[in-house]
Amino acid sequence: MAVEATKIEEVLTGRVETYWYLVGKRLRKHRLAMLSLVVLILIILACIVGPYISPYKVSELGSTTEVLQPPSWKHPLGTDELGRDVLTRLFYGGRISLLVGFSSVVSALLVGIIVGAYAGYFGGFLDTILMRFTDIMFSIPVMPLLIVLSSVIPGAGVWKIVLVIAIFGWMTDARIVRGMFLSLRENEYVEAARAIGVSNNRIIWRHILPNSFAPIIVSATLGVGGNIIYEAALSYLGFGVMPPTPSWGNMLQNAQYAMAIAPWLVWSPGLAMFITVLAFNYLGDGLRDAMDPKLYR
Amino acid sequence: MRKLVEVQNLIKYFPVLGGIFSRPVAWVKAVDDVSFHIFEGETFGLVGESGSGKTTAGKTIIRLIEPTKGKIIFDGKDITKLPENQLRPIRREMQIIFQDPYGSLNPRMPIGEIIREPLLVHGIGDKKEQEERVVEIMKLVGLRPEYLRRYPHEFSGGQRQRIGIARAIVLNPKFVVADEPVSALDASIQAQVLNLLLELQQKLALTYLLVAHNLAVVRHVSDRIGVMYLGKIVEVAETKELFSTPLHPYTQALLSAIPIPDPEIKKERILLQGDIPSPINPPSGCRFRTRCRFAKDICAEKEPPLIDVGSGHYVACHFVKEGKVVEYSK
Amino acid sequence: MEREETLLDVRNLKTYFFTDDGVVKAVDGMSFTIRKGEVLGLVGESGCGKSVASLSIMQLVEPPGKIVEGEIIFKGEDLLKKTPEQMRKIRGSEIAMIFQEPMTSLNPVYTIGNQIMEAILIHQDLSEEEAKKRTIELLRLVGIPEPERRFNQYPHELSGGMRQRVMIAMAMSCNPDLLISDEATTALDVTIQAQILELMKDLQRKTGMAILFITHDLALVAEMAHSVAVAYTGKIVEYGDVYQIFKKPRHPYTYGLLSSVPSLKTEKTKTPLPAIEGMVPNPYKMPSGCHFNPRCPFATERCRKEMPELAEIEPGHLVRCFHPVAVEKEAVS
Repeated sequence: MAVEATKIEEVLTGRVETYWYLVGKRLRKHRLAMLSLVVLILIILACIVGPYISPYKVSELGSTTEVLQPPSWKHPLGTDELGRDVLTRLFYGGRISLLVGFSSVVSALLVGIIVGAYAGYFGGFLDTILMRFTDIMFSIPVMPLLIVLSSVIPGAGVWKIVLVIAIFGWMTDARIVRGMFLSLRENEYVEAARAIGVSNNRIIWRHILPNSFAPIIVSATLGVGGNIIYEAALSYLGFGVMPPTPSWGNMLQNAQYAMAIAPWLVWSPGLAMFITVLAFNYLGDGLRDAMDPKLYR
Repeated sequence: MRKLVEVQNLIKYFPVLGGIFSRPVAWVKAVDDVSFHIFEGETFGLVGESGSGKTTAGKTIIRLIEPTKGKIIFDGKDITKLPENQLRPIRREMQIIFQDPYGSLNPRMPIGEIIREPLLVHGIGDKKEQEERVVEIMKLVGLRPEYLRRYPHEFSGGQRQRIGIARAIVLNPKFVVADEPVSALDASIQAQVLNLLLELQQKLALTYLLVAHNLAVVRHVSDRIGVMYLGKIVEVAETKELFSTPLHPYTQALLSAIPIPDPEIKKERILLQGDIPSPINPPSGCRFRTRCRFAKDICAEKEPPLIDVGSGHYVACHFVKEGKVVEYSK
Repeated sequence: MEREETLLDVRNLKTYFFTDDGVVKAVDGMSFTIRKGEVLGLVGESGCGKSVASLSIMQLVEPPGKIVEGEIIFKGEDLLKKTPEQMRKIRGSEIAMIFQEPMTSLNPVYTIGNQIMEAILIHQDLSEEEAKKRTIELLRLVGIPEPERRFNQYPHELSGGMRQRVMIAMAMSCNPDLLISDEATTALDVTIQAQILELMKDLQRKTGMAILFITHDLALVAEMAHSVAVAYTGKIVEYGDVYQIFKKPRHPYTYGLLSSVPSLKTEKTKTPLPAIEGMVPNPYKMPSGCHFNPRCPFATERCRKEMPELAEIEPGHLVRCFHPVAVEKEAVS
């Protein structure tokens, strides 16, 4: 009897339902995550476009009469101790904070994925070495170390901050990725790939990694918010982005000296950071639900 | 007939790790000194219950699991110790179909990619030729080529098994290990897949090692059958011979335990006592003796060798003597 | 088997699942009866609604599933009208259930003895001493060797077959009138399956309880059941006593299923099996008319438009088909 393709009944839908299509479909049902996504897009757009439409320059000093002005029509969020427009600085600072947040997450992920993937896939001795190294990195008390470092190396550019956050931030990702690889490498499709003769590297990058994206993306989303806070903390320790380049972190740090007389200086970067971080967390939660393999049919 | 696969004294022990240093504290004797051969073009069925080591044996033969000891000769070549880079060209000749049609397909790869990957890895043809071959194979296994951009989760169990079969035969292998290929499928789909396997064997001159627990399925497609129990082969015979005159007490019990879809047949069952012992600590001597109706002292002392009782019928039991069957008695 | 009074009467049961993608009619108008002491086999492939039907009887259907219509008359009373508290009392005492995977139904942190004792103490007014005695009796009844020692063992110390025996012991603890066995032997090895089936038959004969025996394996039904209901896409397509179903199957689906199973008798090995074409339809997109029509070799225009009723074509033999198969089933099995 010939097996005829036409006899296999049509059951498939017209649309190619990729995994990401299904994730998107489920994410759209998560109201808080969708609201967060809209808020984040607005914030990002504002940070990109804002500085261009603002009549002020970022570091344009105002006249002495314009120092520490409360919010007004001319300066919707007031001015700082040097008479600079806070709204403009907020947009620009957002660029820096978001840039630091995103790029530090991406760099930490790169390191974390490489370490975690090889440790989890090969296991054994390599795993022991890599994971002990991870443990050592974890046990370094970062904040005290940075306080000491900040007195030695004064001031740092944006990219140095990114580097510092990445160096001390990849370990969690490495552990997540290792965990995923440990369980996914037992899957039959990995065995099937080996039976075909697929190389270990191709198995790692083409077969296992795409299947461990879900927790990585959730962790990255939460990580962006976390790293924005991290940058603020570093700024507070004097190790963050150095003025006159604004970031939400150093705006907040600056504001503390004038808090009593000019509370708007605290409110605007504080709220911006609060809303952004909250939105990233809700989005991360929504993504986790949308990508949960247990819900995945 | 030419022997395509020859397995000599194959042993596979898995370590049971324990203690703070993760040292082996015990060994699971999954396959313990097993020898058999598979003729070119035939289907050799390997049956047994859980813990019998049939799947481990099947996967070790194609070096998906590293053997502990013994020899695997494939197509005249000893492949037991070949390093992976020298093994790769031989992998083209031997493939495997998995039991689980859900777990064995990468959920993030479109099925066209899944079927094309073997060609890509072995560098066969350019992209266009590979795609043509994928379409050809999809038609051959009864899948619509239009679906090649679809993902595995959009297919039913039976169709997924066809995708797995397509991946296994796209390289035109000589030898295919089918590890429980239909046990995860619905009854009405099992027959479709079995028919496909039979048809492909005819068209492509395949040699199969069919690993399964369902004796009716094994009987239907196999030329010869080996029965495994706790890591040992206890009986090997041609299919007809095995079903008409099973000699090993375990084979007899196994055959009598098969449920038959006919209410008029009220069979006298040979009910085995107790459970299958653990392969970590198998019984001494004959491994079946703890559940055997005929067990005597000798069974605990000496391991029965697998002996030829004529016309390719091998049995490992103290009460079956060379050339003739000695009556079992209590 | 002598005619006895009806124990369970399921009438026009409909259990639907309201999912985001649409309504799945898992059980769509099933009716069947079980008399006292009868074993009814409910067979079908995945998605035929056999498990949902049993969960509906126990009222263990979880959202988004909902029983939308029907009556489940047990000993003359409609279970669907019972309060959750009344249902809880019936479950485990008058109706007991055993599942495919005994490991998930047993709590890993308690000994098996404790768990059976607990089941006894909930439903019966016994002292702890008596309950323990009864537990050991039950363990012996289901063929567990050294019951006194096993009493103190944890589920993970037992093999799959032993665990299933423990589940049966627990089910038997309150002498149920009806035992629902949902694929209880599917996960077991053949020789162990044979032991468990023998045990169930034996207990059934001794206690006279009725069994609703749910399975995908036709051969097991032939062995266990007095009557058989064959389900397909949430509906019963054929219903009759075990000889009618296996010797004179009239529905093309039943006939096809019986023919497609490799037989131990036939000489024609290595030849194509008469397989049923196609596959079980997508629950969101049921074909119009008879749900089996796309796979049926006898389908006509009428089958594509109208759903046939379950009609009696000989005493006690019901078939849902416009063109019942007329041949006797001799060649197969």
